[in-house]
Amino acid sequence: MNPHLEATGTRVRRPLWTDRSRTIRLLAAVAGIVLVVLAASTLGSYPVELITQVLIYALFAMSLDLLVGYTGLPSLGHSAYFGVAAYAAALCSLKLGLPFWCAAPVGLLAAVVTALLFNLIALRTARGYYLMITLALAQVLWSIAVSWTDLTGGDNGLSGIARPVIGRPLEGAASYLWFVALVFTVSAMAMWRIVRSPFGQALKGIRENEPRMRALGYETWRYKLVASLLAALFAGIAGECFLYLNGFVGPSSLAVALSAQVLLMVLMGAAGTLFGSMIGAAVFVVLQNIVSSYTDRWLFVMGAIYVLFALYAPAGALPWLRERWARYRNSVGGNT
Amino acid sequence: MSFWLINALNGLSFAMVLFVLSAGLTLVFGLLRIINMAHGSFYLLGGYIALSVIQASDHFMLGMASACVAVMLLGAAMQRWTLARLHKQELPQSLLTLGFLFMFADLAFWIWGGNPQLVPKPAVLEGAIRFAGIAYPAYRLALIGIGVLVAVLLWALLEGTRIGAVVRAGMDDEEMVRAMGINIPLVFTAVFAFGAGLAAMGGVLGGPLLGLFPGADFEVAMLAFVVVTVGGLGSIRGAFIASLLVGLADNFGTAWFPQLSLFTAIIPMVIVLALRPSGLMGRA
Amino acid sequence: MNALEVRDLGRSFGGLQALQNVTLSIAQGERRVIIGTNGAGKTTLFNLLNGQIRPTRGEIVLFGEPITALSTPQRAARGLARTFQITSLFAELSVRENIQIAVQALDPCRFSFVRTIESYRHIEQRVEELLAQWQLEHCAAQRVNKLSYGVQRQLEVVMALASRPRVLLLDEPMAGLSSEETHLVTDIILALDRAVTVVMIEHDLAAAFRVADRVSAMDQGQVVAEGPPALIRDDEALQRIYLRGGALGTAGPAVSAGGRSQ
Repeated sequence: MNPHLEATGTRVRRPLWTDRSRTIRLLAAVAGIVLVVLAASTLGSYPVELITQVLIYALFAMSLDLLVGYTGLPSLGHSAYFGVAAYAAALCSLKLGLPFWCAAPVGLLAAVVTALLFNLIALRTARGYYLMITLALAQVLWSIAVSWTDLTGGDNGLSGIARPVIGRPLEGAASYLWFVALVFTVSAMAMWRIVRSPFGQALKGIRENEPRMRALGYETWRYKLVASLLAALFAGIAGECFLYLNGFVGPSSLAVALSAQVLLMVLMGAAGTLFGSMIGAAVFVVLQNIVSSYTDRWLFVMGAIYVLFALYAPAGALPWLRERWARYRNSVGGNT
Repeated sequence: MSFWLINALNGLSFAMVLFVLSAGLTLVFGLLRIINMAHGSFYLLGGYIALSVIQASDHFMLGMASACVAVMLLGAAMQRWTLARLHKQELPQSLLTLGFLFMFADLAFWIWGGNPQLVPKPAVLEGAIRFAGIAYPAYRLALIGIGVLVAVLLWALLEGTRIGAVVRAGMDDEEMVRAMGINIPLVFTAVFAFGAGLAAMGGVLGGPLLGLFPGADFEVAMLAFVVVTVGGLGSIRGAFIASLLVGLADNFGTAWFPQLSLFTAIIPMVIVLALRPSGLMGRA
Repeated sequence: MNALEVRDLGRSFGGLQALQNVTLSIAQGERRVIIGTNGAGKTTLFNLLNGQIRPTRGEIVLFGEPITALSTPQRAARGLARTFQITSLFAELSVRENIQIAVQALDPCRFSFVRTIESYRHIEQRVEELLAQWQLEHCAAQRVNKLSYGVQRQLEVVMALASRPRVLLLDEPMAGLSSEETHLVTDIILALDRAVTVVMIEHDLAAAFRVADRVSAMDQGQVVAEGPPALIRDDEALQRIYLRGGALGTAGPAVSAGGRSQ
């Protein structure tokens, strides 16, 4: 929840009290989520739905940021993990009649196995290919979802998946929001742990300079592989949250458009900071809702945003704003 | 027997459309180091423009020519005013072309609507030709001939002309070409436009076969990515061989396992990447 | 047992023979300096030693173990570290993070993603120790691409030393440094523990001769002379090479009759 959690690098040996301050910040973050959820649930069902969506997409975007922002692997097939988890969990409960506690882990496992297969192929190639090959592989899954109607329901997808029962059924929009908020908080904390671990540090090194990492003794492809498995796991969690939100999964959960959207969310924040990806997801969902209420040309607007970001803010919106702000402050300082 | 013959011919004619499309992609990558995500858009726009022109004029060749020229101009503008500003920045370039992909897709949907449409075949190539006990569409046979012709022409252009020599040198070493006093930005724009034109041509040739519809841009772009990955980025010869592999794999795959369409098309890619990560003709 | 043994090493690029018949025996704890003009094949030799490129022929042996077939990370894990002629750091990360990544490179904790870095006290301690030893504490939090070139060069060496290598390959550590900084780096190399074997490529012959136990001179992909600094300084063949490519700045005035060493 707090950008300062991201500020590695500036750490000097801290006195004891900072450990406590970190706990305080963490508590503040959790309290923030609780407040937002509470506020939303008093406002009626539309804001609740919107916030639930924001949290799910934020989780999804953060998982992609592990690859794009931290490891420097631009993936355009991230919807594959989101969709596979949702389809697998849905199939488990529909065809095999498994309960939530079995279906959900199976779905996550399916996402991780998909990531393993994809990356054993995609990581063999040079970095420039990664975007292209992940796109091609994800497109294959989408195509199977559309054409294998017996299994996947084709374009109609799979519907009628009941929400999990935790103590009581999570049927109401507000009670499901609580569930998603909990899942989000736990996942986000886990991801923060990952990026601040020795492993996360190694990922940043690979992003910055892979040959040097190899010269230092890192078998870099192993790190890239594990990073993609972890990213797939969290993307899968987001996918299942989405599945139980709608009680439905269709080919759009595997589509390139979704991969492109989540990549744009990462860019609309700041690649390489989980917090930024979260903000990006929130901005994206709100923007999409506003634009769609005025025009049908959302796809065009999204394309235009991509073009603008590529030209002017390839590192993301937050770094761009920070730079503007610094320049503005300098010019003001220079005048006085 | 006729199952094999028909599917092999189907695969070959599809492969030729793929080749014309992928040749443009691989050429652009070889020289400009850009993975053009919007390559499929050029295919789709080319097909749609040809469709409109043919409907208005009833002339296939006129449709083909106007589609190629229009898309080449579009490509030149896109390269000159946006892509050129991101020279050698790999990820922003990909994101930029991705943005254009969405914009073009929405534009095409707006203008031509969401219903699948077929580009009319040229009148001479309507009907079927009988041989070896089968009746086979004349247009598909012609496609095979056209694909081979394009391959030969491209090869002659790259190997036999001065501009081809410049492009080949640029693929090896941009600095050297610059030092030779050649206007690199102009060559870049020209090659990008040429690549876009090839994609448009692919769209016109493939239009009567595969149809034009929203999402066709993604579908063919994905197949073109597979082809250039298998062939080795930057290699025309590789793209030709890879088109044959992918085209045939896709056709027989769809014939045998319709539920797993596209899956068989990427099998050549998986095998090639496992054995030779830089592609069949790629430089290691 | 020698620290590093190179036998008949050769590498060609296309038709060009970049390196041929290179044979070196470097004793444990030795300071070996490799000199030669640009294009003599020195950096190619280093790239072959640490596995960035594969030799077309020959063998490399590290402490009695053949490593020719091993990958770069595998060689690093066996105690072979190197620096790069063109500064190769993690540009967007801080000095502290750069050192941290180098320190944990061969530590079992490097693959852990469950605990934060701070919880590994021994890593933190080693980082602090290196920062203090190299007087980098004042800029520990600074981003590397904001540092002066001299400090970057210094960091390049610290990174290689961080994982306590047995053999250290230094590729022109003094390139582009001021004379003051050159002295600092030379002093540090001289002060290195003798358990570490050092192989260094250097253009600055004064610094090279100050550090070296033995010197190997390369020209056109081959080792053309080898011996203690005093002998090499007066070597006739070497004089010719350097006169052809420029001046042998610090060498004695006379071409002595000392002749070929070895």
